[in-house]
Amino acid sequence: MNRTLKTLSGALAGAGLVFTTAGRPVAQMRTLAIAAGMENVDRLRDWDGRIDRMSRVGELELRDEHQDTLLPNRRHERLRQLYQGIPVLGGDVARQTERGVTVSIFGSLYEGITIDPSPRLLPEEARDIIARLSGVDLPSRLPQLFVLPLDGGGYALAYRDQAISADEASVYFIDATTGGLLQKFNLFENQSAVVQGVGVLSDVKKVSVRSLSGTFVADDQLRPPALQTYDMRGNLTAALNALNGVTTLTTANLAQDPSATWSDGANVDGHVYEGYTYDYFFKRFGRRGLDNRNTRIIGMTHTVRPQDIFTASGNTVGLFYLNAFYCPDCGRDGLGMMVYGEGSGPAIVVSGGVRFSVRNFAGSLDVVAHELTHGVTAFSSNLGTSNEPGALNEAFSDIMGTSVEFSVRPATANYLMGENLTTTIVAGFQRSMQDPLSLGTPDNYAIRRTDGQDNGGVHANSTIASHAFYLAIEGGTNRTSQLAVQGVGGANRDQIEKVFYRGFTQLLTSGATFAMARAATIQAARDLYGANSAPERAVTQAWTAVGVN
Amino acid sequence: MRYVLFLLLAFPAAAHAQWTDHVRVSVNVGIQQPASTTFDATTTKTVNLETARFTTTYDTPKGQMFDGGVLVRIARGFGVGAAFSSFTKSSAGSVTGAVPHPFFFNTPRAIGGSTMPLERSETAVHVQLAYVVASKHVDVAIAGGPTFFNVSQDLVTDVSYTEAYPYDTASFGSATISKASVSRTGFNVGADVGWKFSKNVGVGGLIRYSKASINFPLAGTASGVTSEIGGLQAGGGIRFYFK
Repeated sequence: MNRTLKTLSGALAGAGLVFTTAGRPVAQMRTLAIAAGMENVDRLRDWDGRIDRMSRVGELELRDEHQDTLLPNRRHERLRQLYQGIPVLGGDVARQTERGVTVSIFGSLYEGITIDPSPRLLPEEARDIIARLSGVDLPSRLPQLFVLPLDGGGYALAYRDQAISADEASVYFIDATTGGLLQKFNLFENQSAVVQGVGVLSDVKKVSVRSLSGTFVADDQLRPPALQTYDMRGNLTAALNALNGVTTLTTANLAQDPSATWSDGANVDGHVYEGYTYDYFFKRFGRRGLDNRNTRIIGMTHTVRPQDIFTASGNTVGLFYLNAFYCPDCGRDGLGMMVYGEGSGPAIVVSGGVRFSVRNFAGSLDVVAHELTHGVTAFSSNLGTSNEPGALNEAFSDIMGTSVEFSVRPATANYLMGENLTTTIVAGFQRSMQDPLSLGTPDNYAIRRTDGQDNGGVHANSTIASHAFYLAIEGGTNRTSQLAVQGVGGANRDQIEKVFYRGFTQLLTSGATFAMARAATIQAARDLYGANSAPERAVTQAWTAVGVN
Repeated sequence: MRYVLFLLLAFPAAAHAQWTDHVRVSVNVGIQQPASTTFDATTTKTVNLETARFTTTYDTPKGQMFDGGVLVRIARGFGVGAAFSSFTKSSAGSVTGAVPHPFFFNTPRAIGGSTMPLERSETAVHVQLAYVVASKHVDVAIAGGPTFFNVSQDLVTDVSYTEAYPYDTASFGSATISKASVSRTGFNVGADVGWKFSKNVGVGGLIRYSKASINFPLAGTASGVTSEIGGLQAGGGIRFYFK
């Protein structure tokens, strides 16, 4: 079937009239095109006459006519195209007149429609099909009949209706002859937007947001899961209520900015880095979010006000200012939430005699990825939060956090955790996977913390396992054991990342020990790359070097 | 080139004779080799905060040409005339482009594909001053003068593409096409040879070269699209002679 979309446009511009027309087989033209500078009054008059003739024979139907509110004596008409009395989707014309004389015409008209205008399907049957496809019990409203231009060329007689469920809002086009689904598209797809954001470190990045009533909200429309960042605007009570499931966060709580350039670094970075982390797990492991089923991801920023740090309790400072955390059961649906600490704000932190400021925790990619990985762990091995399971839990989050950093910023990535949080590296605040001892954490099981602090030394002892990850990639010698490891090399880091991901998410269980982590990752290396492969050798040597046998 | 040789050989044989007809009408069909067989145009638009670039290469291969003209003797071997020629050809354009990534700056994704056939249509009025030499059966006209072109060209004004998460690649979807028309004056030179097989009717051959440079305004470009129009026309047809 031959089909022609005729695009026409004319407008008085500059020295004269501009106007273009074109006829093409199949649907390659949907947008208006004005070739500015070409004047063609004759063609405008020609189209004017054609529109009048088409109106007289019922091929165009006047849908709206109104006075111009800005220019006197101007009127505007909108006409839609009909074929045998049936509206042609996308076929419409807007004509502007001044004292009855046409001054511009814009629009699109389809030609070459030769389909049978009599539907074989009843509207009720089409409605039932849409209801079945969408899982939505549709009301008594009946679908409308249209002539649908097809992407591949030609036309079809189609019923159109929309169905909105909790998961999606879609428009369906059902073939009025066969009952088949011709097209389906998202009702709200065009609400996605990309704005520019300035992060905590003043770096510029793209932010995937949603356009909503003249503003942009931190609700990612481009990635598969619901990925939202909420700005609590310093209202800790509201944050606690949301975390405890007392209240539900609403659109009004979403981080938002009417400007296309976002300047709140925490909102920018938290939202962007959640997306980067989702991307990493998807692209590297094929994992679909925290639960591998695209469960929603929620982050919360600004749960406290910076200036309140001076009056906040020590626990509040430790939890909501100088910390970031993933709460696996938080939220009214119990599906977990991320909270990014506000940083030290106007305060100066003193630790081990070092005075420093702490930036908003959302500004550190590895920290955001670390916390989200806790969500992955919660939905997989569900490693405990104390003693060796807790240390492995922290280690896996550090490992994935660093891996996300290498994935997104290979040129500047390193094996320090949280290096962007402060202006100076502080022992006890950051961790080094490359040289744990340099920042005061153990690099070997033989010197693990057993003093009962920090839930059994979960953060400190995590570097035993994360150092093994480092050695398996980069190779080197463990400072404590002096045992050397032949790593797979940075170019093959994906192998070790996959080994640890497989071991920690699919083989380990909640009460895993370091020895079990060794066995699980070696098994994973064999599964993925075979016995005696380079990754298996590297992982085995690495665990041995860090004293885990 | 063969036509040129033919004319050069034919001309000396007829050079001694007088052109006695007052009007000669010719109707020809033939081939036009366009002056410019390819040209490029790059359009830009903002996508994901960056500039997306789409370059379309337009191909205008040789194609059939129709020509009709009249030549009127004004003095001795000199005449003035006008010819109308028409040339239309369609050929798919090729599109390449770079589409910015929605998540990252400076990470463009390459796309490429072919458009639907893009039509080039040229009509030209060739005004000519001619010198004609003729024998009893053969006449040769050498002519030249201004040509008034009207050209319409399908232009790609926008490109759509498809993409899916994680958006690291994108694919060419379709091209939005609009027809642009431009009028321009150029020149023509050519020769026409006729062979009478009766008093008023004959057959003949034509070779003509015409050319002009044009610029189509195109949104999304800095200075529009520039191309050469006209080209080499060669054809043959019927001749009518009137005393």
